[in-house]
Amino acid sequence: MRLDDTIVAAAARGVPGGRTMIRLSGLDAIAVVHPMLATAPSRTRHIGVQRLVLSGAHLPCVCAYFPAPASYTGEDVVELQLPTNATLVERVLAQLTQHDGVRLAGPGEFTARAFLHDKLDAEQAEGVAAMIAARTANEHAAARDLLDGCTGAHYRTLLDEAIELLALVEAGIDFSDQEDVVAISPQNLSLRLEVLISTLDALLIGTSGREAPSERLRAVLVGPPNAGKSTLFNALLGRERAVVSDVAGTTRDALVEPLPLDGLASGWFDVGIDLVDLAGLGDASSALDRAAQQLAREHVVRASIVIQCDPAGQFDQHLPIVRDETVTLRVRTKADLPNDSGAEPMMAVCALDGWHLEALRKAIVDAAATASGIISPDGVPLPARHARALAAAREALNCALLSTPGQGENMLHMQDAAITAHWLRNAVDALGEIAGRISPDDVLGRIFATFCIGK
Amino acid sequence: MLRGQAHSIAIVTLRADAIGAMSCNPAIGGIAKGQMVREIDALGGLMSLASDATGIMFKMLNTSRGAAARSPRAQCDRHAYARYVRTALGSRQEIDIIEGAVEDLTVERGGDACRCVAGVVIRRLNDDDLQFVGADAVILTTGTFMRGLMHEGERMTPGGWAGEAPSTGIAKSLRVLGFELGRLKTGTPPRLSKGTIDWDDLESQVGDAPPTPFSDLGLDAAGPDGFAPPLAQTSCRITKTTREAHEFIRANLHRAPMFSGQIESVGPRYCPSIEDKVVRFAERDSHHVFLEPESYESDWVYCNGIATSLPRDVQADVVKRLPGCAHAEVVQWGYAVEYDMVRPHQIDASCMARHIAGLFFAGQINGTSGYEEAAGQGLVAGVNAVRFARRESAWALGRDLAYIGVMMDDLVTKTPIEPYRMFTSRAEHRLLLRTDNTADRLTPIGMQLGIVDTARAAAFARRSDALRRVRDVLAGPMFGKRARRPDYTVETLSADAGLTPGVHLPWGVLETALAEHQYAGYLDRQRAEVKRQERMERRAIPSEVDFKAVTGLRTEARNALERFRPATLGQAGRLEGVSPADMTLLLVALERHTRS
Repeated sequence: MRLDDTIVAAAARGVPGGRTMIRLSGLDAIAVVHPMLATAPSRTRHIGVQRLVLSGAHLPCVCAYFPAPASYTGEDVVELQLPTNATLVERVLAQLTQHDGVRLAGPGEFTARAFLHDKLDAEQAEGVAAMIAARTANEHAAARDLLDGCTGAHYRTLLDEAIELLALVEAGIDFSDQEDVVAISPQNLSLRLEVLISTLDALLIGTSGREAPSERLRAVLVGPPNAGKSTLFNALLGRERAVVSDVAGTTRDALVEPLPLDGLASGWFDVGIDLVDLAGLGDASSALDRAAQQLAREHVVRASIVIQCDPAGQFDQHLPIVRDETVTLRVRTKADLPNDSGAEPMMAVCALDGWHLEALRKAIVDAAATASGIISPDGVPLPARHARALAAAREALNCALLSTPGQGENMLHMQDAAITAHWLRNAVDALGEIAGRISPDDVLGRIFATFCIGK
Repeated sequence: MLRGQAHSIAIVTLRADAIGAMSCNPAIGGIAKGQMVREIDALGGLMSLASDATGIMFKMLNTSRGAAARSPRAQCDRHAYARYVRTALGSRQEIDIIEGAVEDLTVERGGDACRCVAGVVIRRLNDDDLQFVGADAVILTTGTFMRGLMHEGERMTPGGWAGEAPSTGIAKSLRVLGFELGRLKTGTPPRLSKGTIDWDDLESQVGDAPPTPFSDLGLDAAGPDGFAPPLAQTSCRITKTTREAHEFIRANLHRAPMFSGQIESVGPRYCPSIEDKVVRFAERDSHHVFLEPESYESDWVYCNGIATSLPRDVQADVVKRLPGCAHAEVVQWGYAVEYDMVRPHQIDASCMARHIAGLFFAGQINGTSGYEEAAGQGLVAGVNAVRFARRESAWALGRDLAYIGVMMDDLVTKTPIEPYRMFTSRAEHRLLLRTDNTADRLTPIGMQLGIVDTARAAAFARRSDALRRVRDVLAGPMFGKRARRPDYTVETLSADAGLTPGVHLPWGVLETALAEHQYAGYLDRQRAEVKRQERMERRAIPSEVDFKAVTGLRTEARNALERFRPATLGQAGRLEGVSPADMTLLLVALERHTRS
């Protein structure tokens, strides 16, 4: 990890037609965005509508400048809001990261930088740190699952071939004084590189067409019947959407409404959140109750944020099943009523007088930030990450190909084994991002296993 | 350094006349190793000068593979080399040579409750009494002697080299001090008497004419005809093992210590014994053997390619079946040797033990193999021992500056699985770490450290001046793209520019200028990369940072951090088991630590 370069991440998922945020932080943030805009923007703090130039086409976008130190990270920050379209976002990211000194952000890097520039206190930073650890554990699990499947096996094969070629080229450098080592012939190397490149091409066509999962985030209200969920739902929406009564089990259907985020999104975060009111979970006395509760549970499983409501502050009855990455908020509803549970809930809210309502709204937005992978930008959907890694590998392999002797005159690349190795190493690193990290020792191991080294 | 006598150094060795002796092949350099010899030279070391003065066959390797791969190698006259080294050490008034064995280390509590080395307990040659020698700093270089055990078939002899006793006290002493030791294995082939080989019947291999010296002083002094080595140049012979020999080895594998279970420690994969090769590469029925004369002062010939610990009768058979060796007489049998090392996660990149101030380890004791690797560590340990004694801060070389830096960093961040040897593929900045530019990279550092003498500083000034001139020439319109073609050589440049090495400028300058020209974009890229990483790379992790207290670290990462105790964030990131997410957590914890 470095601190002196510029990091970039696509920050939010949204529905097609919604918007995706691309955020940059670092010294070159302004300089690299600049040439992509149709008109030169002022370098002062501002937000405005701009046109993004991509391969000659002009696209509308919203561009926000936050010069250092008045930004989230304390560095120069630029945010581009684009129409949500996986291919478009990928192309913009690719264009930005082709600059030296600009790269995709690692897990938690925006936050780490914010902390380093005194924008967050240590407690906040540690909270984020713990979250990153949890997320990373999840991602490891996801990556493992993926590797067990056929996609992973395919990447592994590609990586294996790239390592094999690197090992052969390295052997021709490090062990050229060994009788047994015949460096791979330029013809053979070119041929194998071409095969590898075309395999990647085929994969990339498939990948770029694949859309990222593009749901708006959902926050669901769950709890026992008559816990005040619908009252809270209405209070958060700021209007009487749900029917409210003192009769337990009033809500049967799931009600879905966009949550107003006035003043909270602040440009730092721009994904829509849908708030969902559900039937209470408890003893089901009728078939209708059971059906309503089943529907509610299904919503809970799909939700990104679960707001557990309980006026008693117990939170232990009928715990719904949630996904690992779901963020759970615990709210003691009806905070105007005395609480005899003795338990310490996370937040006490009274929907009637609005007590702590703003705090809850803020907590939902924070939870959404967590759930959408803003703070951990490697939470972007795996296929997009794969596409980037594969494209980087393809580019490096192409350079490796140009650097092999017999590729005709080209002024771009020295035809030299050390240069070929340089590009192959880049390709192996890129593929390693999605198929497992490899070290120089792995390459040496391959050489020792293949050749009889040692006079 | 002996206490109370400023700038005094004692070398304690089992036999003074074994200083400078090469236990294995008397060859210096080779791929990646040659770069290290050049680095040692740029920092004022002795190895390059000794090799140039005593080399009997020089060869530049990888000449057709580009500037970043080129590596010098030389076979030296074993006896002349050792004599050169002994004379050089003997000429230094401040160095005492004590013959004897180091039996124990003396350690005392330092002022701030840390342990600090106080000296060594030695037993002088032919003297039963123990004697204490106080020192501000101690460098242990046990080679293959620490609990050394030699294997020759079923026969086991305690010792570090043929005919030399092992050192046992020091291993016990290190263990008592809490060091975790490991065990490694290496081996050497039989030596033959040249007079009994049908020398002239065999294919010959010759060196370069004129040769390229290792030292910048040699390059600087050479005239238009190039470097003239003081000793006459010789040639090697090539022969090969035969199918019959392989069958005989297979039939006797149960007597090979490597396979019978007699040797349990790990040997290097890059330097397998002949029995290993026969087993692992069973489809081959022949391997090359290089017959390399060891000296003009003896007729010993080194059989490069058949290192072995097989019993003598099997060795004799293998040798007899080598074409040209039917009547060859074996003057020293091959053997394997097992020895103790101190697992290198216990030192820092300055070679100093992390838990005992002033105690340094260098060479095979750190799990490396090879003269060049040992010499590189010797230089790092030597400089730092003096700096420690003078209460100056530790000095370390980065991975971007030298192969020596790559090696030190690898040692303190990796778990050794075999004796460590340098390869160019270990260096991520290989294009920057070339043979041709060692002086540019390191001599200014050596001057700052005060380890470069005036003659070398003057040679460096001449080189730098010439390099500037050639860079200007290359920037001219007639070069440009044309000089980037792979077939554009140093000779073409010399002709085009009208600059003759040894006349208009020192040798070695055109190589650097052309490499810079041809690799230009790549060098910029690698330098930019180094610069970007610098802040994280160099950021120190204070020794009091408690990894157990860092929220959220995965157990695997925590264990790795605690075991290796990386000195910088850069090192931490290279530990196996530490992920980028762990690095974020570490960074946050570090920053918090700094602020509190």
